[in-house]
Amino acid sequence: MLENILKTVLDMSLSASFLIVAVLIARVLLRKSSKLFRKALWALVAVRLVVPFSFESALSLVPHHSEYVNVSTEFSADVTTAVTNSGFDRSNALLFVWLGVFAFLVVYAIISFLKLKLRISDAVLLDGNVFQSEKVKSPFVFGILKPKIYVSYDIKGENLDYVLKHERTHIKYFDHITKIIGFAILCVHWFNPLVWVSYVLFCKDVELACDEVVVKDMTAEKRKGYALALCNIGINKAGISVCPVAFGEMSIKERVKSAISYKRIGKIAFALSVVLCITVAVCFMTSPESNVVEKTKKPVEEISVEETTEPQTETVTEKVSDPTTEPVTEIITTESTESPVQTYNEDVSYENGSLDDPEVKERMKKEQEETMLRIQRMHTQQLEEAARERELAEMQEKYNNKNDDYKGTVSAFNYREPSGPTGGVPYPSVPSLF
Amino acid sequence: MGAPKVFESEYRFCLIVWENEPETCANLAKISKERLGWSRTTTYTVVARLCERGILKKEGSVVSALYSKEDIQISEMDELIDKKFEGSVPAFVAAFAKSKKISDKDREEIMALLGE
Repeated sequence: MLENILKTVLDMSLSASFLIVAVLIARVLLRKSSKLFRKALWALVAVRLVVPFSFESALSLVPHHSEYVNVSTEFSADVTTAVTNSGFDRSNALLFVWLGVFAFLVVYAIISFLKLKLRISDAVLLDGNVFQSEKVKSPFVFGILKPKIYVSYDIKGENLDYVLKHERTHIKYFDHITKIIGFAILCVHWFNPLVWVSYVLFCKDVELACDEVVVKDMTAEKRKGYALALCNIGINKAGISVCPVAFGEMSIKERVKSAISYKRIGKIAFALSVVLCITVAVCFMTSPESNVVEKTKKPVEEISVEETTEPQTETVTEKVSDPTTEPVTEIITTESTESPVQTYNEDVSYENGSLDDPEVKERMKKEQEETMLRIQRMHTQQLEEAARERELAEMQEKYNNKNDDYKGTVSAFNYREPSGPTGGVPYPSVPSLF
Repeated sequence: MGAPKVFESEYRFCLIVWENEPETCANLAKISKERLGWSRTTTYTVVARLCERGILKKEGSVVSALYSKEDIQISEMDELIDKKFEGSVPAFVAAFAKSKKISDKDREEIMALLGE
């Protein structure tokens, strides 16, 4: 079960990586636009990193990568099945490392959270939810349900107004919560450097977006005052210090610059930004249509797995009494074990219904017809495939002597993963993915 | 030897103690909750801390101060003069007079103090 979780996490991490790269590019394109769009983009990344499934879309630009993940995880799965009983277990080792670091990060976060809570417990109420403490260096928001603002005693007058405006905006936008969520996601995906980059940039963008909102309705003079307050007090330190990793500190220079130079964006720029964000979402939040993969998969390989996965298929073949359907179900089940996208698993539902039930019978009949059709289709595919392979072989032979380079590419094209210790793991040749 | 160092938040609490002493811990906690936004445990922790440093004393559940407000203010001022004015009182007074507008009434009061 845990292995499946690790596999899912790896899969999510990988598909999110494409999105992150896209967001990094979009961030550059959006640098003149409202910072709120950047936050929206990070929200997309967060969703991709958390939700294990995605919609299929023909517009998806994410390469079909599940096979790559399979390489790593199936390798580990192989090892697991091979050496479950022996002492050393490589896949378990991976799992434990992942869980260990995850637990470490979570415990670290909780401890620093509690430590800070203790430190500021004697902060003195100033007004409403604002507390003062001599132990606070730069202002921050603390708490989840009842967020409180903590400032040092030194901040007074105008500066205090600016600081409170900034921190109250954080609370208004639930930044204190999104930052915690961000860190939680980071704890899960700690092995992915792109997620760390995302987290750091996300923290930065949260501050910039907050500054932007504060500054929006200010006169130029007040903006200057705000920028000065930024310099003097250094609201610079990770604005919300529940973020236990302190590297979120960002350059004050950039914030001052963006606070002073803020310009309300025009309608066209706004529309363009929206379009860009939607484009990123549509192209990188979705996964490519699965039938594309089916086509590229080689039926020959699918059938060749039959024998290795026999124990699973037997259970189904026993239930279906009609002898003509036997081979059919065999093929189908092997297929469904290796490509989870397909939904042929429905066949198993006969288990629950009685075979005498006329409804079930009819369904079975229909199902049989369908499966026959499928077989025919698969057969033609096989034939096509065989023809292709013959052609390739001919080509290979033809150019074998003439051109060594070409020979290389052809053999690469035909490359197949050698069977592992447990038997053939189906592995489509790499170039056929594109 | 002046009074021990009292931090800002602790000082705010001491103000309450000075106003009400001798007072039970429970009542102090009640007042602190209202005026400082402290939880009951915070009050008890701070009382324990200040007792340890010899600023307050707790007999049974009754808390009283070992130093008066003036003691603390003087030691705070001494520290300031030592640190920022190289121990020179005239330099301190000069800086004080320069930065703060002194009303006639204040002047009279100060003169009276100096005359003593």
